[in-house]
Amino acid sequence: MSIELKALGKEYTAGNWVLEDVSAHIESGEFFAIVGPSGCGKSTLLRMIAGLIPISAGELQIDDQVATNLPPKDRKLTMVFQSYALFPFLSVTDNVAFGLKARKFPADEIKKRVDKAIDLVNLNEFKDRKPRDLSGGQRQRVALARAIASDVKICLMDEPLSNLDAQLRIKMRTELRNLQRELGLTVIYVTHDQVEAMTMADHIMVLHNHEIQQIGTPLDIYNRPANTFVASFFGTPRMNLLPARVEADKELLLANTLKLSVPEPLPVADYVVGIRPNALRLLPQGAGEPNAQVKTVEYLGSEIILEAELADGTPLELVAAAKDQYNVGDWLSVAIDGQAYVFDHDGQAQFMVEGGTRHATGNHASVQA
Amino acid sequence: MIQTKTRKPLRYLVLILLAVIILGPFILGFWTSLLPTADIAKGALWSTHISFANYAEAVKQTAILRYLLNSFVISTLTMAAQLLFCSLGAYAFVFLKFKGRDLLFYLILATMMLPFEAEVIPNFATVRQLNLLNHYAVMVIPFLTSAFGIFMLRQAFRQIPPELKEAADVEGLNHWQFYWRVTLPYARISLFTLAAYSFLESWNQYLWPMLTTFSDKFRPVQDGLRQLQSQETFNNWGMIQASAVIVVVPTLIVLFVGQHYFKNGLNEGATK
Repeated sequence: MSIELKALGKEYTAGNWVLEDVSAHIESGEFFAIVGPSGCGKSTLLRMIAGLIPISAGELQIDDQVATNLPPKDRKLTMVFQSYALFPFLSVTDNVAFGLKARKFPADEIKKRVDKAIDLVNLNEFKDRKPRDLSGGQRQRVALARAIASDVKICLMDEPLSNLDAQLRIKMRTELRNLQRELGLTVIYVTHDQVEAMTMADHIMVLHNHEIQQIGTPLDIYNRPANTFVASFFGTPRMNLLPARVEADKELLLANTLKLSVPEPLPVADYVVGIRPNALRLLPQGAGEPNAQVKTVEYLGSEIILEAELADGTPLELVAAAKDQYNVGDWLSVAIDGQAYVFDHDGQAQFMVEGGTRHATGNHASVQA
Repeated sequence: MIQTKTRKPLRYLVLILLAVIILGPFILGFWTSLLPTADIAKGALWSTHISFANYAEAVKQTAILRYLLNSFVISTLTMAAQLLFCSLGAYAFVFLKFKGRDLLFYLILATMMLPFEAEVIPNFATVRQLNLLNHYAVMVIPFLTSAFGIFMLRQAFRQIPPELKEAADVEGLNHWQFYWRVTLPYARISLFTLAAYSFLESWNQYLWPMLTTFSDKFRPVQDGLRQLQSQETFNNWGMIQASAVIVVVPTLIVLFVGQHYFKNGLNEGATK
């Protein structure tokens, strides 16, 4: 049950494209996440795949068959909604059986499937309850069971965990992933939470500004971001993006403060250099020249997040060991010690430098995995 | 809330006052229905001659049972028709997309501004042309649907989360199935309310049946009651009161049964 998106587009009013040229291939049994900030069109894309919103341009193939104009029910998929979309007047059992009854399955088959699905999500004790008598997490499980009970192998999920509290969300992530593997489901999962996408997905599609920014495995996206948007969207704390200019033959000067040596001469232009906080080293007090001033200090227990300002006022995020003591106003001495991503002035990735050597980045390497 | 202590008695005072104003006439009516007409005529309300004789007389001497049957048939038919047609109309205004939908809806709303009395003459001319006078049909057909019912159910249907429609679309439910299996059960409280409302409204009709019915065979209760009073040269007030109480009882039953369903929170848990 693979899914192929071929240059899909959506316009609500003529010439006003909310999504443009979205192409991707989703393998059978894959967990595919669509990530992006709110309003980027990710839910629209999911609803286009489901058939709830007509596709304005391009072609959709499900299981090697053109499905662009098929009604939702003929696309052989199920959908889990952010708001669960349970029928409040039906018991858990009837909610799970709803789709099967609508598709006129024989009664004994329905019972078998429903029992199994409810068992898989551990709701056996709650079979006869109405949704209003369930907690948020349990409602979420009912919604999942409804998708599982169906015989189809494609499941579309629209931010299914975003209404749960933080702890339950982390627990459900694992459960969801295990269920998906166990049942061999092809899942397309929409989320705005980059951590969810990183931890669950086989492949991630990053959407922003009506377009695909990058498609790749979580590692690819993290290690080889195609542009500054992807770079800053993934990873906590966020990657620092510093303005840079060519200073010497093989050297970039970042925010007028930090020096980054590059393996070969660069054409003279404006650049943006991305450095994750963990690739910045804090030199012990006294060593090196102080170049950043602490603005805020956040204690996380295992580490400390420092928000600092470089000498020219550019903000910089840093991580420090928990045992150290920092105060607002302290001057620190920061040095680059790890990967630095060089983007051109449009934010497109050029290459990555680590210890003075050059590596390819997402733009060229992993547009389609 | 520091004020609660002083406010509470005040609130109850107002409530008791309102209750007395509303229930007073009803209790008075019920009480007089138990008294002999002679005592009522004398103004002796504290009479001790209490009996159900007036009720027996009403049933024996008047067509009150026939009126009840007529009203019951008319009100039930009207209620059923309004539930069906108003819900179908409201469904179209919420879940179907067609050109001029909103305009059409506002047009229907606009008819609510027209008082029924203003429509009486054209309606009368119409039903006379159709040869419907003095028949159950004349009291049902003009009330098969109502702008208010459509408006009320449209509001109720709009409360249905769009995800439920999407979920139903993914499962392949067509409009009829969605209407029957999701919309109606979801909006059942509003449907009960509309049922009670339309039943009572039909039950309490007076002007229209008065104009269009001429025989006890089709006359509904409210006009029947009026009939009792004018037919007699001497008004048997005890019996009339007894009939009035008989007429009110079904409406009270509808309200009490209805009240049981008017609970909030039945739709909680559909979405978060």
